[in-house]
Amino acid sequence: MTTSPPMRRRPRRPVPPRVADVSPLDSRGHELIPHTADVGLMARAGDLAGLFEEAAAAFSELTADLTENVPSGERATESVTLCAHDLISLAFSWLNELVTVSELRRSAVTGARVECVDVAPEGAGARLVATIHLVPFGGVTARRHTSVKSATFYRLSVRQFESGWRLTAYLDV
Amino acid sequence: MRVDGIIFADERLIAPLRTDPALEQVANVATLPGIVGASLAMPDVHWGYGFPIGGVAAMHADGGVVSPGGIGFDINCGVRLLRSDLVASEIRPRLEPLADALFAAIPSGVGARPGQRLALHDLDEVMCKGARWAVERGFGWSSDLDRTEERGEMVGAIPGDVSHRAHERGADQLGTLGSGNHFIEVQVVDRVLEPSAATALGLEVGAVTVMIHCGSRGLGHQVCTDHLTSMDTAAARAGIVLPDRQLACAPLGSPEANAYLAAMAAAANFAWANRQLIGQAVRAAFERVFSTPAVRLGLELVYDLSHNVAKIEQHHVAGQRIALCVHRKGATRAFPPGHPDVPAEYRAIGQPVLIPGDMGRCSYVAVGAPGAMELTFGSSCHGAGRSLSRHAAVRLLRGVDVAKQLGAQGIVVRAERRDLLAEEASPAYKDVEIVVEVSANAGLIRPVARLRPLIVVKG
Repeated sequence: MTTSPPMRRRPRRPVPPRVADVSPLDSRGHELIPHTADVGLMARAGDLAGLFEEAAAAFSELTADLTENVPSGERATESVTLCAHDLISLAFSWLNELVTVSELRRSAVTGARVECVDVAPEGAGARLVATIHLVPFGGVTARRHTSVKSATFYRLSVRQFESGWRLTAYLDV
Repeated sequence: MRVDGIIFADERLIAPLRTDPALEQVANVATLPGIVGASLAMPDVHWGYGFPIGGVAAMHADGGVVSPGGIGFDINCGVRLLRSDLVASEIRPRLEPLADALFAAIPSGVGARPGQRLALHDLDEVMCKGARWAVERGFGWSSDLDRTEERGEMVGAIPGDVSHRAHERGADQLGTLGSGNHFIEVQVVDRVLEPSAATALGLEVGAVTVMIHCGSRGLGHQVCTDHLTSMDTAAARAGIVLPDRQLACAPLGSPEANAYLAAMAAAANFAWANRQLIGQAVRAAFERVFSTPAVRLGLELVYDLSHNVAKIEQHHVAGQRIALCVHRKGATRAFPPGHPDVPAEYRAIGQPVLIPGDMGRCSYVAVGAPGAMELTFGSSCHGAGRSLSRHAAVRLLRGVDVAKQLGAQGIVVRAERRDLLAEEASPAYKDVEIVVEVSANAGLIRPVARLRPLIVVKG
């Protein structure tokens, strides 16, 4: 993991409330990490669902400039279910889902609500169910910031610590 | 490491690299099965993901692997250069309207072409025919194909190996520039270093040129994403231990490798069609502004090359001619004079090597030299190479109006996000003069001409 200072740190945008939020709020957050050609992100949360939500929040911060108040008429959602053979691959798929949905819907990702992240023991598979929150680019609410080509496996990690979980990823921009 | 890592640099370039993760990435690539000679880093090498950017690795076609991370997500990202009969003094009074015309004609940013979505069968045809697809529809001249690497049509493309999602992402992005470091520059030749080669390329001091840098857009990104996932499991199944999962690979000849190479070729062809369409849009913009047909303006293609691709090539290794899968990620093929894969009209001078610098300084045109075949499997640098992260560049240039600064140099800028120009400003890049000098001193290229920017269009 890089030892460089955080690239940008903004107050976390409101995330739609989770059904059962058991993560300690003070442990949640994200940072963007400098990289010579690309951009990294680090998310942390008390549980895996919160972790993947924070990764979406980091992605949102990287890719869009949003106004504080999003008119309800502009909001949209995309429901996704992802399966992968392990937790790292699931993180790769999740970040790439954000890339693709944003591109195909021509919309900014404003956040996500992750219903569940199930991980089978001994790398026997992982699954995520989530709703991605979007607002269209082109209006007054959302302006494009950095364009992401893809998430990468480079230094991609999802690790559990005593205080919760941490995800580190690098994105090709 | 199975082989050494070799970095082409002098003290000026190697000093900042000593603590750079790019060195670790060069070492990681050296562990890949079937790698031949060395894991190579060109003088513009910098920190990437998986492979370093500026990395070259040749794998035995028999017993080696192909790694999508050695090509990158922007498959066949490359550079196209047009020359013209216009001279700088003719164009300076019309820089503003020309910049507006180019910016309006070629969608930039991450945008698509609204309402211009290709039907599935058309998209498949693009992926098979590449630049020829565009020329057959009137978007270009037949001579364009003669001056494009692989004639803009990589063989072996199979659209069926490209996912539905990749099709979706590419369907409305043909003829679009993209964002990040992609650009269109109108330039002027300010220095000729090898007159005979410059004449062969149609370049002379004072002549106006247009450089285009872009790739395969969302379609190519999705191809890499899809096949990286399948190779992640294939590598584990083949018992290949990787220091970085981004180096996921599959043995050449395996179903996963065959599927990737077929999809990569399809994406490469999409990129060539993309640059062909953009090149033709550039011609149309010049025609409107100068009220003169592009033919009369002499807006001919000099060359179009790929700097993110893998190719099966024949090389001499230890006195034997063998087939290798040469990965070039942020590296340009630089075949020397006489090589049969160099277009006939350039065979006497070597393959053109187009080396973008940065928006405030200069770019170079060079040609491949014999040393490239001896040292780098016929490869050289692909640009200046970044030296600062985007964040560091923005921090360094806080409070500086980059467009205004460039304007003071006589450079007109159009950008989707003017406030993001700092990320791509000159201080973010190495000095291309040094990169070219080191490449030339190593015998990889012969510099031919230097180009200064007049107009910069950024995504």
